[in-house]
Order: sequence, then C-alpha cells, then structure tokens
Amino acid sequence: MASSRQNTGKTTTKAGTASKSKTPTKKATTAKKQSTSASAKKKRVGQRSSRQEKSQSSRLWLMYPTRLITKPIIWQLGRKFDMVTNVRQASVTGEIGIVCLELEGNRTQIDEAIKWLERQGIRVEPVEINVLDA
Amino acid sequence: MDKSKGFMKALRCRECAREYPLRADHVCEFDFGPLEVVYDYDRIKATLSRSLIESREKTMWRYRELLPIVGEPSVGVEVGYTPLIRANNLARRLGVRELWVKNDAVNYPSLSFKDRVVSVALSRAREMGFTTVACASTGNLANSVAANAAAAGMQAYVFIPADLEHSKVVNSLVYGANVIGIKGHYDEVNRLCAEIAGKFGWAFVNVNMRPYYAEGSKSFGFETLEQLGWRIPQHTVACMASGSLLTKIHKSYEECIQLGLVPSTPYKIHGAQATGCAPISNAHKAGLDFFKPVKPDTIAKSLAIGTPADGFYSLKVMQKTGGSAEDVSDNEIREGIRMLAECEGIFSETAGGVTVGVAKKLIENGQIPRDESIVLSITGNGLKTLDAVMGHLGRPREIKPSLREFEALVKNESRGAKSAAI
Repeated sequence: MASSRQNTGKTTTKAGTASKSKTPTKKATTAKKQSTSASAKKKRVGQRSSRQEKSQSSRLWLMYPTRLITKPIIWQLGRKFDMVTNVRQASVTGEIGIVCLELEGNRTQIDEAIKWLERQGIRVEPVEINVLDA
Repeated sequence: MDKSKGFMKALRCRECAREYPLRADHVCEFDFGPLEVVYDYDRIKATLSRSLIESREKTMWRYRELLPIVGEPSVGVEVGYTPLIRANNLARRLGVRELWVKNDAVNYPSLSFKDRVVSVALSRAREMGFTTVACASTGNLANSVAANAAAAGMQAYVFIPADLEHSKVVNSLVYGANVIGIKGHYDEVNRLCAEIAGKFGWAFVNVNMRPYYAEGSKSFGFETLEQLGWRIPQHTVACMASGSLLTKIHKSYEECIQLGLVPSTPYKIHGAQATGCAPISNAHKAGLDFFKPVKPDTIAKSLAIGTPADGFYSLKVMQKTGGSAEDVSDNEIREGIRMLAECEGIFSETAGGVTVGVAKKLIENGQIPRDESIVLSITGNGLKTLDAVMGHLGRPREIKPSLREFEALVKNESRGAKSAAI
C-alpha cells in the first residue's frame, strides 16, 4: 500500500484524528490510544451482541481520499463502535492520508467498523497489504 | 559461525531498522513496517567467490550464502539458472545494439519466476519445522506453492477468490493441494487470508514467511550478472506487481558490488506496468514518492495488484538508479507478447508482454539509449495466459486434402509477398 512508508519528510501528522496538535510530528510513530469515553451517550453499533465475544486486535492500513483527510474519522470510529484505536504510523500529504491503525475489540465490532470505514470511502487493507498475490 | 543462522544475521524493519530474531514473522512490532533479512556480508565475502559459484550446480542455489536458509536447500533444488539469451532479432526490431532476455518462462517446475521465491520460502519453512504451507493467490504463486509442496511432501493450502477462472484453478488442483475458494470481493478475500495466516500456525509464504520468500527473487539478478560475464547491464526492465521483484533485483546487484563479484558500474532499473493497473508507474511519472491505489482492469492478471506492498520501495529504487517507469495498454501487451514470440521463439505470459512493450516505449522516447546494454525480465509462460491472446492471432488457413490446393495457396502467398515488396 502507499503506506506511511511513503513518508517523504513532508508534513506528517495523525490523520483524521480529533486531536488538533499545532506541531505536526515528522514521522508519527506515536502510539496514542484514542478510546472513547465510556459515558458516551450515542448508540454504539454491535455493542450488545458482541460484548461477550473475545477481544482481539486487528492491524490495518487506512487510506483516506483527499476529501476525508481533515475528518476525525478515527475519533468517530472509536465513539461509534466503542473500540480502542491505536495509531502506529501515519502520513498525510495534500492528496492522500495513510494511517496504520491497531483496532482492539471483538470480532463483530471489528467487522462492522471495517464496513463502516469502507462506507465512508476509506480503503482498508490488512497490515500485510496484498496478501492475495498474483 | 552460528549454526542456527547460517549467513543471516537477523530480520530488520525496513522503516525503523529495529532487529528481530530469525523467526517466521514479517511485521515490525513498533511501526508495522515490513521485515527484511540482513546478512553477515563480511563472512560471506570471506567465503563466496566467482570460482566457488561457478563450480556449483547450475541452479539458483549456487548463490546459497546470499539466500535466507541455514543448511542445504530441501525444496526446489533444481529451480533457477534459466537461460539468458542474446536477443538479436528483437534487438533489430527495437533498433538497439545489445539486448538480452532473462527467460523465467521456463523456470522449473511451474514455469514462472515464483518458483524461486517459493522454493526459498519452503526450504526455510521446512528447516523451521513447518509441515503445512499456504498462500493466497490468483495465479502463478498458487501453482508454484502447490507444485513445490507436492514435490517436497508438504501439506499445502491455496486460497483463491471463488470466481477465479477454472483454467487457473486446475493448475493448482492437479498437484493435490487443498484449494479453497473464498466468495467475496478482493478486499474481503485479502483480509480473510491475512487473518487465516495469523491464526493458523502454518508457513504462509507471502505473509509470515515473506522476509525469506522475497529474497528468492534476488537469484534472478545474481544469475543475470553471472550469465552476462559478471557485469551489470546498463538497463534492466522488470515488470511490477507488488514491486518486490524490482527491489530485489536492485538488492542483488548491490550485494554483488559489495562482495566484489562485479565491478561497480552505473545502471538503471526501469519498472513496467499495464495501463489498467499502473499505480507505481503513474506515481513515478508524476514525480511522486507515494502511489494511489487503483482498481485493476487489465489482461495482465499476474500484475493486477492495485495496492502494491513494495510500491514505495520500487519508486525509491527507480529514483535512486535513475530508472524510468512506463505502462502499456492491453493491445500493446499483446503486441509485446507477439514480438517476443516472433523474434525469439519465446512465448511469454502477459507480464512479459508488458515488459517488452514498456521497453519499446522507453527506447522510443530515449529513456533507454539504443547503444547501451539492456536486459528484459520475462517472468512467466504464455501457456498460462492463452485467453489473453486468443482471437487476436488470426486463424489457420484451411485447405482440402489436395496438393493442388496447397500449391495454389503457396503461389498466391509468394505473389502477395512480391507485390508487398514492390
């Protein structure tokens, strides 16, 4: 994937998060957990049916199209699905945003979260990128 | 020498350079960057020489110190050392002085360069104690894993999209592999395979074995240098799917320079893609150091990877060596296949048509000078992609079982040829 391996020394920051850091980090290898408040009142998808399921983590590359670069997608994801989101690497240019994200939740939550991300227009790849080779 | 490591030192993250033990793992825990095998080059230099290499069997394993195994290879021991032919007819057609074709269309046993990477991955897997191997693939990789695992007596699981053409499935089924079709679109299949790879304790060749697997491509470069008389061609054209082959050819050239096996001379590595799936070529031409994923739509199925894992590193190699990238349409791919077949008697799969087509373009636009040495990388056999050329090669002329009719046909043709000459 065009990953944060694409980092070129251009401005690189945590893409689409709710944080508004004024100083862009050069290569965001920070591991900031963005779990949402437990008291969030909004309805959370997949919460009831999946609470008993075992928690697991999923490592993904998210690729943001230009129109979504400034949106706090990861913050929304954490709130909506009540999951732990952990940005491990990110790169943002004027055209594209790439985030390496670790998602922690149960199976149903992760599946639904990925579907939701795709519905927003974000491309979601496993950390291995093209596992399905030619 | 540490007998558990051979000439390897560690796995190292290509992003942050953190090192890890030589286990079946592929991603850095810190930043999820890809891991790569690093070697003890001082020890290799003290051991490996041209004469030692030349004294060995003509297989890819004659460079074994530079491949990631500890002991002797146990899978695919006959793989590699495919012909490097001086392509004079094609050179004349393209108007260049020195042209070579490295022909992995005849690689053993499954007729593609994937036999190199798979035999390394399986040899390493076996010495690590794995008995089951797996891969997710739509073509050559699946065939190679199935074939090499069968020969090695290993259990193989091959994951494919459920809607894959039956002709391609047969090439894996025949070896007795467990072929599993997964229903769903590409991204879903891709993610599920990543999950399966993480969950089962198998050697998944292009996932947890990837650092070892990818190194097998270097043998393509080593052989090229040796077969050229231990020199580096001024131009190498390689097709790009994930981009791994191009980066590993570069690594092989650099290793040979470092070990003193070839003199350090300037060279350029050029990347070739199909226009219907050209994320790396597009990025290079636009002067970007990142690529945008695409949805593949090309007859070159073996190059149809819209989000290439090594795309970023391929761009870096082309930038570093001064190479170019180009892409060609489906018709240009067919023309490339035909040109190679008519001039050199080599029937390549669509990826080879891409390489030839792109080389033609780069020569015509001056990015490859006509008086410099050029190597074209042909990675798979045309018998695997017959559908791509079917209906585009004309039909045989038919006659009744009559000598007179045949004589008339020959006469007509020679008349036609004469008038064409006039």
